[in-house]
Amino acid sequence: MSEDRMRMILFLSGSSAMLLFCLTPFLYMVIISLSGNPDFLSTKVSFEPNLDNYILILTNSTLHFPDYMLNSLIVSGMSALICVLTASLAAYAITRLPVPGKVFILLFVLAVSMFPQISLVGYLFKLMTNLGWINTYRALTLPYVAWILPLSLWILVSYFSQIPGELDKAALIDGCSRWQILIKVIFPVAAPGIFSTLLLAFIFAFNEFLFALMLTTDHGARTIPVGIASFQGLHGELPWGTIMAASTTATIPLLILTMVFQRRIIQGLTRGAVKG
Amino acid sequence: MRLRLVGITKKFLSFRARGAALDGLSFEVKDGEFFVIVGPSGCGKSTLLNIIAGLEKPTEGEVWFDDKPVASHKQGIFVSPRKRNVAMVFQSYALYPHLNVFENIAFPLRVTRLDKRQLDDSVRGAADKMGISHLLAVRPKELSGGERQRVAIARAIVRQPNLFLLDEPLSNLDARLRLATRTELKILQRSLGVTTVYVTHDQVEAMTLGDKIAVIKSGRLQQVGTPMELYDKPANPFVAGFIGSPPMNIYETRLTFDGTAAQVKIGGETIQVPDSLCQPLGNFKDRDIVLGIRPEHVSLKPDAGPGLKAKIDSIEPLGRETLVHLRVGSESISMLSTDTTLREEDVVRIHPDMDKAHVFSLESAGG
Amino acid sequence: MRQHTFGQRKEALLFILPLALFLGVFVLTPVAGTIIGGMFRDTTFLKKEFIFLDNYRTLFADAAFRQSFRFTLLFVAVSVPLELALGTVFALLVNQPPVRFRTALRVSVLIPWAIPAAISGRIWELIYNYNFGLANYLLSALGIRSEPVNWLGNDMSAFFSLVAADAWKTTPFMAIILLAGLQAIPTELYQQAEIDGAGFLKRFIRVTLPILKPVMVVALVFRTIDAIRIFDIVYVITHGGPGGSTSSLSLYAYKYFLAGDFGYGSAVSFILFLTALGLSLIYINLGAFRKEFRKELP
Repeated sequence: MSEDRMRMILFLSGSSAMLLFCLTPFLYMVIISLSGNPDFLSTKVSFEPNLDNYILILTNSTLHFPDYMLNSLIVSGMSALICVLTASLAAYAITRLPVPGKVFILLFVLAVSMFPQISLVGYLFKLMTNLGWINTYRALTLPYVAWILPLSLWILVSYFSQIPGELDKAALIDGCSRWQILIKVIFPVAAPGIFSTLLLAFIFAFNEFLFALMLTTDHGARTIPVGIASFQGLHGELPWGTIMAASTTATIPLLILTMVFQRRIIQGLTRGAVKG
Repeated sequence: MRLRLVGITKKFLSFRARGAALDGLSFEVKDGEFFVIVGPSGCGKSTLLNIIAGLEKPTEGEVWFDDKPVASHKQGIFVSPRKRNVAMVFQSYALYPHLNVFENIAFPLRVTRLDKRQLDDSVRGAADKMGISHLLAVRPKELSGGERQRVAIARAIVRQPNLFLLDEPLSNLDARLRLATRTELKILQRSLGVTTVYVTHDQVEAMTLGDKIAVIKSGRLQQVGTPMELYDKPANPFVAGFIGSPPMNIYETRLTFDGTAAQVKIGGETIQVPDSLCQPLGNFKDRDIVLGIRPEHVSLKPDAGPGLKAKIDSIEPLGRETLVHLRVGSESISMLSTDTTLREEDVVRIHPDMDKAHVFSLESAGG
Repeated sequence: MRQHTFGQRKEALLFILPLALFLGVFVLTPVAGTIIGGMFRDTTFLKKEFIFLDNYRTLFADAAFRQSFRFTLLFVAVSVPLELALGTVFALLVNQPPVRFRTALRVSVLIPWAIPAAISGRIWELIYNYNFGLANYLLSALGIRSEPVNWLGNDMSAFFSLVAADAWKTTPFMAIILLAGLQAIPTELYQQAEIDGAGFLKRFIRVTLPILKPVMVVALVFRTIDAIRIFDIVYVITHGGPGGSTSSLSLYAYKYFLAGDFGYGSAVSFILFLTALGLSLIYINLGAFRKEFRKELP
């Protein structure tokens, strides 16, 4: 057997196994969400796909699913925007201005990113309680920004440091101030990188669980992961169909982002992790 | 505009910082002059250009534009680059990748908020002058190296700067284009009449372009002068060896006086040195000197008589002439010759024209 | 990056100020608060009182805490190497597939990563369902075992159920990082190896692995530090059960916070913090990391 053929067989069997592993749970979620009875696998009841679960979560006002979803989108969106803006400013200074102790700042920020969330959340809970901010968007957004900042900073520093320094000089000579350079040159030139970072920041914020669990109390600010994790249904027994419908719906924005921007996401992640 | 530098010194505090230090440089560039700063890489010439542009602050010294100081350590003056109205062309051209050619050229005008029609006219005028009017809608990454360079120059001339600064603008072009662009740059500068400071490591570029040339080595000014002054009267062995191609033959040797004439030894053979050469050294009795002879001033001596016996090491045909590397005893010497019958390993007699040789004191070689 | 000496330091610091404020107020102060809080008796009903290290004394005598600590370390020790191995295989598969599969493969691998952990926890909770979960269905459908397994009902299977769920969620991340490492390997190296007569496996061992090693170290430690604070999946799937056998340190501390015991919860959190910090310090000082890191510094 030729090596090419062997390699092809290896690749095909390996990829099939990989796809099976990656996609089965996901497809399982979708299938259950479309079924009226989640136990159809064991009870020989026939599987009849319907959208009842979806209709329920979107229309039943006591489940508050649309509220959770909206909260998640708003909190993640705001966090990502503020975070990337803050990180861009810092990354600009670190890569292009005479900041003392750049290496120390970057290492320190890296160390910060390794703190366990649990070591912040107790204090944050008290802080937000004292401020009367529990169950508000800002109670989530502000810690989220801080939480995602290290990663964003590292990714952006990596992108910014690839912009040649001569561009800054040219802009300075062309009459730009520091701010103008940032806005007219660095931001547009680094736009793809900034966009990747924005995407990642959004996804990370959307995924966050512990802060949202501690700092919200109900549908006023509770995000979708917490909403789904604490989903008890209306009558005792866990309504798996409904939960999976909610899970599928919550996953849709992330899936769209992932599919459309797959290359950007991979690029951003590898910058943040491997190259620094 | 007249540019004057007084005692420019630049020290870098951090050892991580790249860029060479400068040590007390002073010179003047006259209005409309094409002034070239030349030196080996790492000599500080780009730092100097940055200081003129205002991209870096001098640690000590002053920069004057006409009668106005734009940077002065003593008076605590530092005018930022945006207020100096200088234009700069970078080695990498530094075009804004996110803007098309039109917007690249328009960039300095947009920052100053020029009105629309005036801006449009200026941009098209500059593009016309550089012959890139057909490229206005294109992004830099689709341009060839030569076209990028034209855009960079158009961006520089569009704002009618006081001072035109060029940092190795030709070094990213291929050899043929470099030659053509060199000529064009010179013509452009003449027609604009803008005071120009041009940095390069290539002495041929310096010689062909400059009205005046400043040679810098290790952050120190070696000599300022017209191309011919540098060629004919180099101030020290460094300038002598750096200016001129092929490079000058340089020997550390000893000047002795045998009662009638001064003489030196090259590779064990003795040559007489005319008095006129020794006079600048003052008392030339038995002292160590540096002797320089240009290859073009060495010739073959077919018949016997005074001359050096040399063996040919290698031959490099240059076209019209041939560069011949020879060996005199333990020393090597190169010469330009039109004789095409020479072969490697031949033993010939050569004659250095000592009237055109250069003699430097050993101290001058230290700087 | 070139060093620019123009510009003012004050101006530069102004650009960093927002970042410093966010990190200061919402990360550093909370950590300090946790450290200090760990030295207090601070519960809902009792008066707040400084007790210095008493919480820690109680902690080390607390069997449930020791169990949490053991679980957390064991979880890291089992799941991270597994994910590294799996991630390497994934990365190799995704690296140079026939072009028409490439995007589809990469998106598929990214899906588990993009789904929030809490939601993937729910999916796996259902998969492990005793009565009608996919896991038991597959076991009987494939004829491996007719009796259903109570996956989350005993210590051992609950532990491995969590490991599997975590591997599903995080292997893609591992794969992506390793993929970047793979793509940095110049093709000439493979061609050279092929000319030298090295086979498929030999090329992997002789060329790929050694070059990938520094990236693997980075990925490994990143994941280690991430895995040590595991919370979401445990919270959703087992909630620490059965009998506290799968309670991670984060979950354990959370339960005290939830019950209003901030002193003790803080003390537990601080222990986890120290463990993570220790690991990050090791990380930062790793040679392989340093090398990768230096390249990027301005």
